[in-house]
Amino acid sequence: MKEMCQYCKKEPAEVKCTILINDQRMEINLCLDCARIAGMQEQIRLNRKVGRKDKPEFVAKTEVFCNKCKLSFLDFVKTGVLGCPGCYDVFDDKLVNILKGIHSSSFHRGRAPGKEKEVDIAQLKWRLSEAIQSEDFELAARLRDKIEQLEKDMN
Amino acid sequence: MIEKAYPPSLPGWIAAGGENYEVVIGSTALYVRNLAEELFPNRLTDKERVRLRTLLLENIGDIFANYRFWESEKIDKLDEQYLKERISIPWSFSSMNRGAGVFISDDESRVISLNSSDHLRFRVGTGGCDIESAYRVARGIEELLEEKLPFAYSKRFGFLTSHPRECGTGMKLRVYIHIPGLIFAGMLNKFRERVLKEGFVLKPMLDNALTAEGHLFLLETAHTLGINEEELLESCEEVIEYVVDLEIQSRKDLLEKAHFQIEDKILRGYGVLTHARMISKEEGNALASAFRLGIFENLLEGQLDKDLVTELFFVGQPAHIKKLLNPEATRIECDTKRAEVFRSYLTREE
Repeated sequence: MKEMCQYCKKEPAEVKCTILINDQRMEINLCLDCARIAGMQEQIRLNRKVGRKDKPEFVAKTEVFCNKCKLSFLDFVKTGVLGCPGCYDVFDDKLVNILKGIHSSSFHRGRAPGKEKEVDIAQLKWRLSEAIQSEDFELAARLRDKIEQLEKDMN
Repeated sequence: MIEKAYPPSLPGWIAAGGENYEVVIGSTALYVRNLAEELFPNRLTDKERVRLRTLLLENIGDIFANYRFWESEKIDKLDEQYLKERISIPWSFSSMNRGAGVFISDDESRVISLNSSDHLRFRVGTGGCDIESAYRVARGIEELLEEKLPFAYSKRFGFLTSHPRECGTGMKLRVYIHIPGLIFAGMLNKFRERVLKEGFVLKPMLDNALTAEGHLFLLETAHTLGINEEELLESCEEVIEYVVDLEIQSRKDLLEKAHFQIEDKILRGYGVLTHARMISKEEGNALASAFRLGIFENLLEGQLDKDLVTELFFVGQPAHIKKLLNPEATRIECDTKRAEVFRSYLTREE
């Protein structure tokens, strides 16, 4: 199966962009249009050789913006810096891939504000849904048991 | 102003020394936190940053009442570079940025910077490899601050930071190491790959430069998400143990196999330090490193106190030298002054 563009998720990914954020490499696969909007000139020229005739001027895409700080996802891709805590909610699904690339995980573990110390059920449920998606049923079964146990304990 | 506060010598927390000081110069724990409901500093205008700084000062100013505080507008370029060379302010702090500020304790072990890349970045340092007490103190500060301020937090991504590479625990552990043995033995790349597998990044410590003439490096935890603080601490302690053992072993091997070459290198460096009239920054770093190795391996007996030898790295840095001259000093003037400063250290007892 051909990989899809990580930004628009509609076109097949044709450009592999490497972004350097303070010495940390981050790789993201985009389609030509998204890459052009993000200003990835060099890579586009390299990829032209492979085929695909010039498309007409790119059509303006409906961009995903963070309502609060007006940052678009492509702005983030360019700079590697988010604009406000709200960005994490808005770019949620796109960030997950990037975070996995950097930290090889996309779930927080450890300190929480206040006296909250217990393992969080919501967090386990996220992990469960992801385990099911990636067809890791062994992990999913373990997580399900854990959630059930915790819910029983709370009642 | 800074001249009075911090004399051009070793920052107090590093000078305090500690276990395995010959390899590990110091350890720090860094926390990154942001306020909920506020944009990150990079999206704020100058005016809003100033407002936010005032808000932060109102809330937490009294906790750090005994610390020195600088507003970014009132700190000049040379002082900024000077403090950066002393690892006393973060690289993201810039005097060009209006509305930022920094609290620094007297021994420079505790630094709390406001509005640099994030609303709050604070780090605690201890000499030697006592990373655990650095972490405990930093955690204590974090808990104190949390009572006063609402931090941006999501259950999934943890504490939210402007750089996604710091979200999660928002905590990084750093160890400053001096590893001439590993470098002379040609093991640096192998070592870098090995620690990378353990989740650590190796960077040059001085100057953000890619060359590391002084053989000083910064070992930093790479991950903040998916690993909790205690696990991070544990893996950091393991890595410290690994690097200390490896460095001590390679120094021992080198001195066994190539005793005369190493001795020659060190004594040659000593000759330059005591007699040269001009020393460049790069050469100064390399000489300081060879000298430090010589002192700790007892090849230069009785020449200099073990505490003072680490100081050579700091006093030879460009802003430190310029502070003794003037901000517009030319390269030649600086190189001459540097040689003079080094000589004054080595002839101190006479």
